[in-house]
Amino acid sequence: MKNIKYFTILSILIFSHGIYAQNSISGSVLDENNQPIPGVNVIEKGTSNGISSDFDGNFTIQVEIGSSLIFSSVGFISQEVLVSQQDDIIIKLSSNIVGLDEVIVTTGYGSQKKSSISGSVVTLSGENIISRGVQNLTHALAGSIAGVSTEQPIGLIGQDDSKIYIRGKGTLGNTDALIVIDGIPDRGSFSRLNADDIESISVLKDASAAIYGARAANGVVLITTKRGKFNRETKFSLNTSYTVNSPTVRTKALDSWKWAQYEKSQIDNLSLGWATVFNDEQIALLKNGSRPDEYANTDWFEETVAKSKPSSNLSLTVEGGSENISYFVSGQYSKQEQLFNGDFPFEQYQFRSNIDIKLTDKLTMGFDVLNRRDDGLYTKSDLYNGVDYGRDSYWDKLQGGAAGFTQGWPWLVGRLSNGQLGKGAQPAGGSNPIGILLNGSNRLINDALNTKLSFTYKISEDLKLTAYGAFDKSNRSQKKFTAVFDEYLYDNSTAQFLKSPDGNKPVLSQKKQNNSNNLLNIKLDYKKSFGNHNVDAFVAYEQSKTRMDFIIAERGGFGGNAIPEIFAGTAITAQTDGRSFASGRQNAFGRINYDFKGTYLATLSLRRDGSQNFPTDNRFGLFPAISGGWVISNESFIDNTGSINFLKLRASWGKMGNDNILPFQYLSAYEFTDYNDFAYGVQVGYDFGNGEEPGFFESTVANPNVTWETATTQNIAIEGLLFNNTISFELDYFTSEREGILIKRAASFPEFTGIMLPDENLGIVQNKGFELQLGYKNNITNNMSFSVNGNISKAENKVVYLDEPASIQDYQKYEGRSIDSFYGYQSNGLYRTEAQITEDGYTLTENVAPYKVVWDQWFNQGSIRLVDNDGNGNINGDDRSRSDKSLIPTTFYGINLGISYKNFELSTLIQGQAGGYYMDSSYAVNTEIFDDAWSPTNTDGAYPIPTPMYNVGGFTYQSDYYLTKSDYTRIKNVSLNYKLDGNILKALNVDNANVFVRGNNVAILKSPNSNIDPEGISGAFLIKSWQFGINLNF
Amino acid sequence: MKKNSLLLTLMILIVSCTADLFESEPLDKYAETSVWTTDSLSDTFINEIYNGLPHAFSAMFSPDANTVDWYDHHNNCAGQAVTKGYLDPSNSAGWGVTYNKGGSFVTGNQSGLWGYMYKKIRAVNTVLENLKSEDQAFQDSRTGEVLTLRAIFYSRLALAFGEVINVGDVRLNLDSDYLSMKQSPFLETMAYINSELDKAILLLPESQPEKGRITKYAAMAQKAEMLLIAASPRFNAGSYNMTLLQEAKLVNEAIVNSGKFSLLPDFADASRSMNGNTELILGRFITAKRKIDRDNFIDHNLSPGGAGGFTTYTPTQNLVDQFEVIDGNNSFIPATWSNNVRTVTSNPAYSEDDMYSNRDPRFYASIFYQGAERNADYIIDVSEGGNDSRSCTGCQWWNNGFFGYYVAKFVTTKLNGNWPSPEINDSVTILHRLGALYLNHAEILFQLGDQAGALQMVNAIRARAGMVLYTSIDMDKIKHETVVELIGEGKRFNNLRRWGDIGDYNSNGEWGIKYINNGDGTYTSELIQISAPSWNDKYYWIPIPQPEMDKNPNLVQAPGY
Repeated sequence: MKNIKYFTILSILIFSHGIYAQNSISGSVLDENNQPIPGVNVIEKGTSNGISSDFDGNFTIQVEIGSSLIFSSVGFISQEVLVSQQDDIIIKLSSNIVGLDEVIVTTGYGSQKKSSISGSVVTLSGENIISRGVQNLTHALAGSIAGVSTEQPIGLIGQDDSKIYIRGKGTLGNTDALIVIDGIPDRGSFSRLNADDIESISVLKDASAAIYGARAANGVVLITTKRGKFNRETKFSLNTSYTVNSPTVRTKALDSWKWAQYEKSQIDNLSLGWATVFNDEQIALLKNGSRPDEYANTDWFEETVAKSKPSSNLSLTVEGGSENISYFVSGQYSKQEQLFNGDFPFEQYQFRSNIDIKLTDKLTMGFDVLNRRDDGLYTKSDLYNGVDYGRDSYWDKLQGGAAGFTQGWPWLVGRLSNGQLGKGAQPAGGSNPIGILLNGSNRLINDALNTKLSFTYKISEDLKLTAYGAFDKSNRSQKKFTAVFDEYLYDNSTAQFLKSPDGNKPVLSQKKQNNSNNLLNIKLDYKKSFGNHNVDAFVAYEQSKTRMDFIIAERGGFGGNAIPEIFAGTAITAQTDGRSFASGRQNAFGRINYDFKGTYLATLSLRRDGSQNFPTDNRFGLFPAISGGWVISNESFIDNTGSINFLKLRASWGKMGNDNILPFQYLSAYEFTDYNDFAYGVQVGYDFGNGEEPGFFESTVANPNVTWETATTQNIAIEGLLFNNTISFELDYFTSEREGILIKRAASFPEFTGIMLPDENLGIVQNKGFELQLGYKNNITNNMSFSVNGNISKAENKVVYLDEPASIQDYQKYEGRSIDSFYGYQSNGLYRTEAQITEDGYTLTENVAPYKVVWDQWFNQGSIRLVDNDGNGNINGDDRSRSDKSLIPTTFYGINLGISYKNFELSTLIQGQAGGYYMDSSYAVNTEIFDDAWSPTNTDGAYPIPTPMYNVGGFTYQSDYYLTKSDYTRIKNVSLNYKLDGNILKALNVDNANVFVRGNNVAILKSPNSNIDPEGISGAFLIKSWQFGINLNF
Repeated sequence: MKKNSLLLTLMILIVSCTADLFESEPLDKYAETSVWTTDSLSDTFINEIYNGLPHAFSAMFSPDANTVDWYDHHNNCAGQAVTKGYLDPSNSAGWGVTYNKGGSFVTGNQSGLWGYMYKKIRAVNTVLENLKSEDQAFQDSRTGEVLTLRAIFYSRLALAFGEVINVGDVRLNLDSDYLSMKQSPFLETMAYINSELDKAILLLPESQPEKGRITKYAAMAQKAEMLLIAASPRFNAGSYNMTLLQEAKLVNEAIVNSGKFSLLPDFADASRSMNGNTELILGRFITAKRKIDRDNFIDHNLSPGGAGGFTTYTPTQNLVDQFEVIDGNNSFIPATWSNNVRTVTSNPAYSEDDMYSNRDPRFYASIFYQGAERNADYIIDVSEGGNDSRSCTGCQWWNNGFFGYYVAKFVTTKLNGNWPSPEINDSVTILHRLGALYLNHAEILFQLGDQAGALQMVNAIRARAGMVLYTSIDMDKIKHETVVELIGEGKRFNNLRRWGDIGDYNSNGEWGIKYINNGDGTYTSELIQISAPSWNDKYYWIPIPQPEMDKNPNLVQAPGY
């Protein structure tokens, strides 16, 4: 007690505060679940004497014995209590609306009841995440929240984080949403957290994000982890599950003879007499499969990608609390296997401990620790250099990367009949994908230690001071050993298996990276009611500093695969690199929530942000936001016990920033040369004849004016509950304008200046759209309930200004079109007749049999008919146009069906997208293209005549011919839960047990291409999983 | 009690210590202000500017690939982007290099020849503005070097685009009035280059401790060549400018008379030898000490796919036909081309079935052909299904050429060509060497009327090559000698252009040879035409990229585009 005296005095000095003591009545307000309700208005009937309950639901009020107190709060039925004695009174309020009362929404630096919020904030509960049964939490957002779309890149565990877009793309710059975990940004992705630790995930979609100022423009995702509660008995929860994972689609490559035939047709169609790779005899051998050791038909997907792989998860949580200590502690171990043939375990361990201790009546301390590690073996991919690409060249080979001929190369031999590895594509050994999977290793370990120490000091009933510091460290270490192995060729003439030349040597690369992030936040909360006027406000100061450094070492020339340690390589091949990045931020901000009778709502927030990315003069920016709401159903003219149970109108406006750019662009920076110069040639310093000497180049010219990209966002919405709370709806309409988007003035600034352009605040993009969430929930019988929740959102963006020179043709203009609108040649079907070619003004050269060719352009029958947009009589780069077709879908939807019967609960999520296009890889020849290519005998063919990809001027005309709608619908999730709570369990001291089956990415209902997963942006497969598990609560 | 106050004090302390929250300089790069204070960092900046010098398998060959002598395989047949009409303002990146037609101009960072050279010119201007060393010798040498480099960059620009902008010594910034800048006529730019080289020559030392650094003589050699080009008929209404030739003659003589350079005894060494190369005036080195980097690795770029190479450029039959056949004390050109018709010289010493016998020794040093020994255990096989053919199996057929020939010059013979290679060999790209200077000088002397002098120069080259000596000289002989002597040194297209011969020469079509293995150790060969470029006078220059035209309405496009 004594300990806090100075603290109090100091606080009193700072915040002058009066204390009255007279006929004091105290008590607490609880909800139906005995949870304290903060902010309940406690008013002496017939007077203006009133206060509101504090954060723990406690209140103290000065009234006469015999008077009446009225307890009221939004979402609860008001209660009148006669004050009969001076003892502590406990008031229980019951909720007046179903569905809204339970939801406390985290709004960033605070929380509010969903019913009284005036911004666009959506929360997903922890249970919701758990029931999805995903192994990467970012996957749980898909289809769940209106206005949040995700893009999952690949089914490579550990590299499979979904990209999260809030309200689509609103900028040409960085589109990453800010991720905040327990109040701390820069803690990395939440993908690998234990689902059992998650209390909720909130998404701030509109100006409510402005409280995060300079980093809020792309929206904010808030993750809150669970905490224990005081005076609660200890509860254990044990979760264990076993999951079977398999690829969502198995890519089927073209048969090798068809490949060979197609390749041959490409050359033959040039009619230049060039030799082809395969002649007819060889194609026949590929087709009849009589000599498989030389003429194979290898399905590389089948050879390398596993049919299925298991994963398992074990998680234990303990929560509870005594009078002064509350705790939530958890531990998790999980093991997954990458979906490759071979041994690629990915293990994850984590402990969390969130502890709260009441040091005194007024001072509470919290100490949170998370320690986690993931430790995975990957294929020999490009994880190594700085960026994690998450895919490797071998993967490209399987998936048909940029150039078609790399798609699998089915004629190469995977395994010879004697069991040895066939020869890969390189002249030297060591490139057979099967061998790559079996040899060498690529191990990546991520460690994270997150700690947070917080103090909350209750200065008075209305005033609370909170301070917390976070100290996070994370380390990443990677060790990649590219081993060599033997490959063999079969020589038919001697009937012998010959070892192919071994020119490669093993290479070992190691990278160590350290990150640290310190954050300090001090916040003063004030909460008070003045009669019907309720105020909930805070001011805060926050600063943070992050630092990252890495060091890379590599050696080659290993004598063999025996010792994969750096020392065993040769020093002459050694390469090293290392550097650091440090940044600081400094912010002050505050927010006032005000409501009158819980009916008229208003929120005002203001943030002053300082970012290191900008010069001293432009370093600090102001980001205001305002929002208001009107709970119409509280008005007397609405009978809220009838068909309209709840109805709220709300609107918001705010300014936010995006500072996610390369830092220090206000300085002229010199970097060591390591870039691709004109045409080709990686320049690494200069060689004067004694080996290379280092070289600098001016990587950016200073832009002394560089500053924030700002977003101005408006949102208007209506939400409500109808017909006995069975139907809920929420409709948002928003517009957002980004100004000062940091782009390079490349479109108008001439290159003869020699300037390497810095980012400048130039671009303007508009984004607008709507979100609709509709729900129906009803108890059909006492034992059975049914619910449907659907959401649909649409966001359309338009580039308003991009510094395009005036002389650019209208059809080429980016301005006025969508950010991801396709730029390329416009097609008008195929040339099916010679007449069409001459119609377009081209002269056919007669002497190139069997097809007539337009020499300069290399058009012939069966070629894509390109539109001569500039009308100059030939096709050149000036004919490219910007299409209205966008590569990013505009519409996303999800439908969640739930049904529960007695102890069974079944739910399913159907999810999809529409309005976007993707480039159906025109180079990757599939069966469809092979079978239906134009030829003199198939003049109605849907695909162009096979010609080499370098048919025109060395380059393919990338036309919109191959743009395909990327619409899809899939069953994203199915979950069946059975709850056991019988006497046997009681006898075992188990409260209840759940047995569950959860399926993820279960089925694709509609897809543009059955050979790829429609959601995998790179055309890679994703993971389909079926999880079986038990959850025990005791 | 104390604890709480301590806590509070701590918080206040942390908050007040905000000064170091923001870094003042990046930790992953240098801020400009910290570079120009020490000579070694300044020098690091200057080192990089040297990268603007042309190198062997890109900038040297790619203009030449616009003659029918060479084929640019690396750019997937686009090598003759100019002369096949592929190159237009919408995709113009450089000689033989087009921007991908699928690429985007709007947001992409272009780095074609135009942009790349101007970036380097800006870097020179940055040095001129900032270099202030207390070491006068260092200051003078580096200033001379960057002036020479800038002159070379302007020459690369002017010889590509014709009329280019001269930005002078100004280091432009974001607020500069770039719209007021206009192009200079070709000969004006050439005159500027020469005046800049004069400044450099006064500052540069006669020799440098590093062999790849620019010396006084390198600047002089550049100047002599620029003068010859500026004096050439194509740029002077069909006749030579005698004043410029006279000036060039004096510069060449000063280089020769310095006694610093001499012809190597073996022709092959001139393009391969790194150390003790007394013939080299300026070269760009790629040494074994260098980080292994495939794109800067000559052997890998010029070798066939069968040997693990890239086949960046291949010679054509048209070029092969120019190597003389030695017939005792005489020699003759085995086949001549005119209007796409090949006329074989009738001579018992030459047979079409035995095409590669008795040729100019430089042929064997410069070209790999069917049956040539690449090294001890590698025989070139371009026949159908052969290792170096488009139809090989189990090999990188797509890295093999169409023409039946590969470059041997520059390629170090000990390498087996596999990539990644366990070893990398020293190699050099020749920018100026005495042998080339002799041939330029022969032309200058001949035009100035000194036939004896010209003959002496050409014969010096032929004698070293092991060829029959001439007894008389004419312009055709001088021109012919440059073809076979200077393969891959970036002179061919320029020479044909400045002489005004390019149109006729390129009308011969582009021919290669195809071999069929008869299965009994014999082969049947057949000449095949790979392409039929036609000449248009606009091909003298390449177009300025359209986006650059869009940005500055004052720019005038190269004629014909």
